[in-house]
Amino acid sequence: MNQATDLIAGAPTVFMWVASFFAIFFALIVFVSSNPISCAVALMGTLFSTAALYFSLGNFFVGAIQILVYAGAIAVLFVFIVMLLDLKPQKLKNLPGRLPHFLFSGLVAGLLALFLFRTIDLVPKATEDSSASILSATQYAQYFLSQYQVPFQAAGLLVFGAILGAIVLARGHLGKKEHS
Amino acid sequence: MIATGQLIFSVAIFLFCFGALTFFTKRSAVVALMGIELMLNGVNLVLVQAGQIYKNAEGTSLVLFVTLVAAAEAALALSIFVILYRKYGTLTLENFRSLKG
Amino acid sequence: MTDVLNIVEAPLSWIILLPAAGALLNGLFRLKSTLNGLLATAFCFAAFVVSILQFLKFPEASKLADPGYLWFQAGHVKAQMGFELTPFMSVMLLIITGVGTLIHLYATSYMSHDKSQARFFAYLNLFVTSMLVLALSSDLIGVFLGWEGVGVCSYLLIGFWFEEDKNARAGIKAFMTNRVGDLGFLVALFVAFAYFGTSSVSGIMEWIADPGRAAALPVWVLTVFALAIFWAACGKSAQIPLYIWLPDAMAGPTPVSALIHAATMVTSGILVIVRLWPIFATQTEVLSVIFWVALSTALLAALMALTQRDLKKVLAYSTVSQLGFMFAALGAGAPTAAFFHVVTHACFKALLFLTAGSVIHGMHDEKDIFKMGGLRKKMPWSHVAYLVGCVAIAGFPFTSGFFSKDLILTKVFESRGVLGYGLLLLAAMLTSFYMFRSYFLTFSSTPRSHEAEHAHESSAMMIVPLMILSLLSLFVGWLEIPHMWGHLQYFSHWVESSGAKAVEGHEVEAATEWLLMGIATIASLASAFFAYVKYKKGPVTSSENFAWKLSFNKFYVDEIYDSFILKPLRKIGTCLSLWIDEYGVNGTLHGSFASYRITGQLASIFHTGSVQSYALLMLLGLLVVWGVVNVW
Repeated sequence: MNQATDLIAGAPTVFMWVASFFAIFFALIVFVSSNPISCAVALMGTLFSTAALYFSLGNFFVGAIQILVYAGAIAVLFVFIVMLLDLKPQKLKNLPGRLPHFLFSGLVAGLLALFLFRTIDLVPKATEDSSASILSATQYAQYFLSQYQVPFQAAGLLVFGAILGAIVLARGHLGKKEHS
Repeated sequence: MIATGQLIFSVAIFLFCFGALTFFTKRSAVVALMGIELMLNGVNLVLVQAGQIYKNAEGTSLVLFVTLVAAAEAALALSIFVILYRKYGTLTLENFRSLKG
Repeated sequence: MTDVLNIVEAPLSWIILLPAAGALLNGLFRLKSTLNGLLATAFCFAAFVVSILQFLKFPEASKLADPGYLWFQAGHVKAQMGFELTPFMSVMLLIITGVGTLIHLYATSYMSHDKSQARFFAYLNLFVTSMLVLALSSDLIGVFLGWEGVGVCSYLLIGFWFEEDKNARAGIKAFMTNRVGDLGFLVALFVAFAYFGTSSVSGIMEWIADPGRAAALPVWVLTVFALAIFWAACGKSAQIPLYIWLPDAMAGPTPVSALIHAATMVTSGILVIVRLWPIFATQTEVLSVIFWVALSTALLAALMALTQRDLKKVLAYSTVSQLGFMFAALGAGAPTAAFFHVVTHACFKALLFLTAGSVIHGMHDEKDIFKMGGLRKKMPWSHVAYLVGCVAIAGFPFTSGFFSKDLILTKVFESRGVLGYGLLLLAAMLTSFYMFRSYFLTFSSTPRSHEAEHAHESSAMMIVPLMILSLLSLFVGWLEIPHMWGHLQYFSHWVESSGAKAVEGHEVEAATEWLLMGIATIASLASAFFAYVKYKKGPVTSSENFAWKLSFNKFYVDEIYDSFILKPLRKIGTCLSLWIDEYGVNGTLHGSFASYRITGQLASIFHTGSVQSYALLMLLGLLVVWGVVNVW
């Protein structure tokens, strides 16, 4: 944990740099690639890199959850869907027609980036022990059953609703012939 | 040199912006959804880092919720996409313009 | 005597309320046969009685006043509906109500076969009410109320038989021309409020009397005030250029012409000027303007009267001309002479009009004098009355017209010299000539048409007023005799004790006055004789040359007005209605609709139906808000 303390205020380690680089690299691949499966795999790569970043910050629990849920479930689900539906690579058709749209999106995203980068300087730099934010599973449980009780229950409801929704969708009300 | 915090935040910003770009520009619905996941990731990163800076548990707790919601959302959205694909044969977003006008 | 007066303490407002009540009752109830007329006459007579009682209070009281009630007040603009009676105005009240009663009585018989008598007498009483409000009000706003009231009643009564288009149009013409004049009254009111701080007549007079304040005024204020009032008087009292409505006003029933356009309404301009005389007395340029306008009017109207064939039109132009005489007297700085002529003119002009009505009635509504003739045998009473009227208006010795016209001519000679006198004398000669022309053509020689053959005299209810008016026309003049004959100068006394002192001129000596009197008398007698010679045998049509054409067509004044003023105004009106109404209002409406539609269309450009673009725009919106918040 003391390591983590140094790391907050201190310079990033090589590990962090590498993880950061890969995170951004894979995100770029997601953006640029025209093949859906490439996008999906690149997404997985981003998720792993981000998990690495969490580990380097000392927050092992969150990193573990990241790999388990995000990389292990969501990204897999994406890959599954891409393969199920057999999505083909999409050529960039009628590029000239879409150019204004690309430019505009780039502009807006760039503006957003600009705003966001300017706020980094506003964040105070931590100097002491940051162990308060790195929680173990036990601590999480304690928090969720006391302070964050309400969000916890709400999240439970949310998942419940999602399950119901999934069942409804799976039964296929849109087309009777799927249900056989 | 830059500090850790600055680096992490920069990465998060990049993730978020690329996610936004992906969502805005991709023709396929599934890939656009991937963009959303990227954005959520960026947010998670910010939350963790901010939690460490401000030394409280809120950030890291919120991360769990965000992850949860993202998972539920991705699952349901992909189910809907499957049904859409079955009905319309395509997931190209240009074709889904019924909100026009 | 005073005990009687004390017992019957009638306040000034009764004079107004009595005819008002008559108007209301006549308006509400349509009674059998001539009862409406008798009711109206009764109320008018009651007002006359109260007027007499008020008149008798002078000279012990110098001025009778009643503060009335406050109508409205906005800042220092105050309209106090009070009444104020000066000696000269009380005489005028006697004329308005007295001659008014006689005319009401006459009209009761004249209109006895009309189908809307109730309406007629309601209007007639309403007119008398308005005229009394005009005369009695202590505040210029009250006077203006009465001013407008008589204008409205004039319109209503001229266009009484409005089923005929010509009558309705005559009514509108009268009202419109009056309106143009009323602008002057409004300007005067504005000046009064802006510079004198009050619109009450006595208030203005007090304000002017203070030498310090009067000196501090800009030079033009009093001149503008006086000119504005004179412009209003031109409209009401038919001077150039606003006289054009009076001849057309003959479309109304004859009692209307007698009451409104001979005795009362048309004199209201003169009355207002006499009331405000202290201001006019100081404005020598305005008096000059008044004099020359009046002189032109007197001459022009007299020239127009020379060739008219409609009996009432002759009298109408004669009225315009005589009003010119009255204003000429004002222009010469002699309010007494002007008011004297107002009173005498009221008597003999009313007489003439009523007699004309009697003649027209007897001729079964034929008005063309060329078709008359020999009526002196068929209608003896009317004959005598008309002869008296002609004699009075021509100014034959010792009639009322003699004294009043002579006084005017003398005063004009004193202040405007030989030129003014000479021109006015010419107008007087023309007056005598055309009046006797109408007399001889109507009553002399032999009947020239079927109606004239079978003309019948009128009823007693019509003859009695004629006789009373004849007596007045003969003897009222004795109330103001020339100084060199004695000391009966009641009119001077009345007018001067009401605050209207004549402008100091150079008094002529007695010898000059005798000379002027002689010249005038000989001139009018000669003109009458000349008319006798020319017309005793009937109409003369041989001399219909260019001069005749000018006169007969009223010098084409109406046509000139139409093409130079009315047509352009109508064109402007059409253009404006097109631009403002069509393009302006409609255009604005359609434009605003179009703007909504276009805004909607512009906005719908963003409704692409693509979720991605929606998200993009949301983010953009967020950034804009963020940016604005941060920049501020």
